Amino acid sequence: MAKKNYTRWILLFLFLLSLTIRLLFAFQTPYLDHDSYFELRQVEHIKEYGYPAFHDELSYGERTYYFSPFFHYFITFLSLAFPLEIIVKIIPNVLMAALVFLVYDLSFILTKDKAASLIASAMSIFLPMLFANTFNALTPYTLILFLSLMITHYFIRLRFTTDRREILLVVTILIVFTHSSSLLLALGLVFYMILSKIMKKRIPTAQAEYTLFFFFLSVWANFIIFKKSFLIHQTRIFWQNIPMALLDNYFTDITVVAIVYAIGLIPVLLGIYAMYRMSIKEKNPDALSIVSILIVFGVVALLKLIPLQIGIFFLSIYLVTIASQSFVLYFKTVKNSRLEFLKPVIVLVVGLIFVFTSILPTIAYAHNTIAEAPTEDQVTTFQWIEKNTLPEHTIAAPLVYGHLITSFSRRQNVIDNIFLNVLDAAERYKDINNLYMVKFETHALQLSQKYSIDYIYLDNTIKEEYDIDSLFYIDSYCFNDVFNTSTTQLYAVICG
Amino acid sequence: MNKTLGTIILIAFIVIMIPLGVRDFVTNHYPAFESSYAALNNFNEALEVSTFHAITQDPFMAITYFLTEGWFGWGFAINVILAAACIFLCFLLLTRYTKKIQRITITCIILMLTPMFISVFTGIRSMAWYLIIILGAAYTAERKQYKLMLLLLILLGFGNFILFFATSMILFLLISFKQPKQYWLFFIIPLLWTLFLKIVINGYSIVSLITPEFGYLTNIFYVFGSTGTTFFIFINGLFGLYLFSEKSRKNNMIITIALALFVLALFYPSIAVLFTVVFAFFAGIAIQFFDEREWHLSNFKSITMILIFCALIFPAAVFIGEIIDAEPSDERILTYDELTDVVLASPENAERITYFTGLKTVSFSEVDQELIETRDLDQFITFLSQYDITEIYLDDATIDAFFKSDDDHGSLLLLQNSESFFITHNDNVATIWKLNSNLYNGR
Repeated sequence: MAKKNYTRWILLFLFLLSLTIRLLFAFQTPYLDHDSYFELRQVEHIKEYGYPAFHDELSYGERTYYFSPFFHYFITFLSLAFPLEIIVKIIPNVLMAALVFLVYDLSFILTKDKAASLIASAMSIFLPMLFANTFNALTPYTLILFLSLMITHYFIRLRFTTDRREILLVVTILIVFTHSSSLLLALGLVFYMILSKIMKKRIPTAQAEYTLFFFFLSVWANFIIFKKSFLIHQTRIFWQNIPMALLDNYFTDITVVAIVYAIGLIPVLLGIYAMYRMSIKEKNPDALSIVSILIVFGVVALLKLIPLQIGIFFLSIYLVTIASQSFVLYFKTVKNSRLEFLKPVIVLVVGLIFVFTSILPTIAYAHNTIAEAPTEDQVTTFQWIEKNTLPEHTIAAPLVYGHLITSFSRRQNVIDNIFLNVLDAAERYKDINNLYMVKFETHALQLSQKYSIDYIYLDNTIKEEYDIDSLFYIDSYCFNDVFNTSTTQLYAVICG
Repeated sequence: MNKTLGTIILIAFIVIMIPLGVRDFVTNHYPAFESSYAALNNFNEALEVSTFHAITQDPFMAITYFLTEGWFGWGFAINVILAAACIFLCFLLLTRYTKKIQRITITCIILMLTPMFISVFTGIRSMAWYLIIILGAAYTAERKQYKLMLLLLILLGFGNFILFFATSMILFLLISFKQPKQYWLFFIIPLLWTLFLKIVINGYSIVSLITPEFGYLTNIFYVFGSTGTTFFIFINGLFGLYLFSEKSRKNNMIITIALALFVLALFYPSIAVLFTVVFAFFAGIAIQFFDEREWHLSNFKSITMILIFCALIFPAAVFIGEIIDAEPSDERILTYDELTDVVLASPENAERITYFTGLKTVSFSEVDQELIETRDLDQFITFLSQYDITEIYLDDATIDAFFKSDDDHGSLLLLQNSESFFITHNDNVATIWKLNSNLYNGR
């Protein structure tokens, strides 16, 4: 009994440790990462009108969104009791920190070993890319990951018992209306059924029934939500209508080493070994379900059906969970060998590798995230736009600034990173890149007229990205420098 | 059994009557679907060659064409009868495969809720006849009435060659299990007859008969804009295939045929009709299985069954709604009357303009996108004169589809700003631009 309490205290400590580290980083900047401002606008819209802004007059000039809104309602509900600025920083981090409990529970089901499960749980705190992309982000993926692990946990439990199925039912409905990536989890479970059949393993009836229900529900819900997008983009919807040029960039800088760096060496090595050992050699059905989910997320990420970053989120958390089995094997091997006296040394070495390949990269990634967050100058410029331009004005800025323009400036952007239902997304992406690279005023004016651009935003990050010192055509009388900070410039397009 | 059959036919009658009836009484009296007008125009063109040519090219369309010449209502009435006949034949065919009335009922209901079934029997096309013939041929084959089957296949040969070829192949493979003497003749005779008819009499080339239309998933699934099947029926169908497998060699052959139809339908839209019928059958097997079995998670069962029910009803209801609201409205027909010469219009309008006015049309889909987006007046006018186009018919849907919703995009800018064009008609339905011939001739 005392031992059980001890485990609980360790888990509570890990949760608090994770939350503290996350919040320490999160509060180093008053702003969220760029993409979070889309979610924030939705939450603000729900607060004001009671429903999300499915029709947006600012994004791409004017457009319609289709998305699952549960996460936004969830944040809005919490923001009724606490200030929104605090909620958006704390809640995603609480959800991510709480993963230590779920990773422990899931690992424990797989291994029945408390020590191994606690190690996996501790390691889940320092998954570099997952940490860096969630500590300062208001994103539904934080809730999706939390609910995914819950579902996986309850799904595996169905092998032994069908009690708490009501919880599973509620969690399933919530995940389906949180984000479309829930469909991938359902596909993972379908793949588990297929793998089990191929490996001639008996599938518990309750698991088969749940998989059928989850798959039907997620397919149906996504078809209802994205019906119009399907009709508009047809098969391109699988790639979320992301422009080909941008899609090609998904993998240009990514190597196997980079992926290992993003997940961490220990989770990757031990996770892959455990996948092989438990699914191929031992044919453990519980591990097989996690392996199936890992395979589905791995394949869809490779096919560029989801951004690689999102694929890595899921791969990280499930790999670290299944890696717990490798610890058990290691403990057993050492115990049965003559090298038991070396156990502390081996633990120390593995610990050091973990520090160098997981904890340090996590800190490095986190610093990058803070550096990439909106700066004071950028926010000042965007706020100046709100106060000094007309509501119908359009601001040109590269893709990543799209949501900052609509959120801080409350003005129309030319492009942002949500491409669904935008017919000319690829053309806009190409044109906005050209706007920063063209050498001739006529070409720039042509593009400005095409999208009714009134202001062009420039800052040091953009200059670095496009390898320019300034806009080539900026000396022309058609472009007027209207606002400056030490790192940002705003140009008005005078000739219309 | 007779009561069940009666009920199923009544449901089919209601499913087809709702879009036709509501459309006729509330909105307009014209057929929906661009394909209806395309079929009527094609037959009209064939008639211009000779009546014999037109009838041998598509005798079923001839029945529909001559019936609808005075009033579309006759065509719709025939459709309702054909829909009832289709479900009747489907019911009879299924009784040859299973004795479970529940499975037969579910399959028939699934079939009649597919967008394929609704579109086939609400449009003015010969596909409704083909479907009846296919089901009739399959039924006669099952009853070993091979001469009658042969006759039906020969009749099918008058229509769509790909559909004929696929049906003949399937029946040939299925008959091969029964192994009557010289069973290969059941395939060869109609094939030779159809090739003779299509190539020698109608003057088609082999290549034109078998040229695929690469639509891939858009050929099959309603969610991608097709009038085929729904994704849910497909998923259930796959599960039904799994349940159906490993029972016998014949079952495995049927599964192979079903999967082959899926692949073929990716390239030939007409195969989607066969594919939809076959997958409705397998989906029926799956849904009956889900419903019959005792679930461990009983509360999940009821939700899953509700989901399946919604997933069947929802696309059908949406599709029926789309048909009710589909063009052309009376206002639209009035705008067509304003046209006088060769017209450039969207594919939908082009077919309807040709049908209602007899004018020649060029569809935007036939035009190089570069020409639509050009801002070079000379290039645009050269293109128009190449096809003798003097009028351009534009509505919101056309601008959305071809001009990316941008009011001053490409050649639209030329229409609005050049003296070479002027408006002859403008209302909330459409704008008709006319090429200023005097100015143009003087250039």
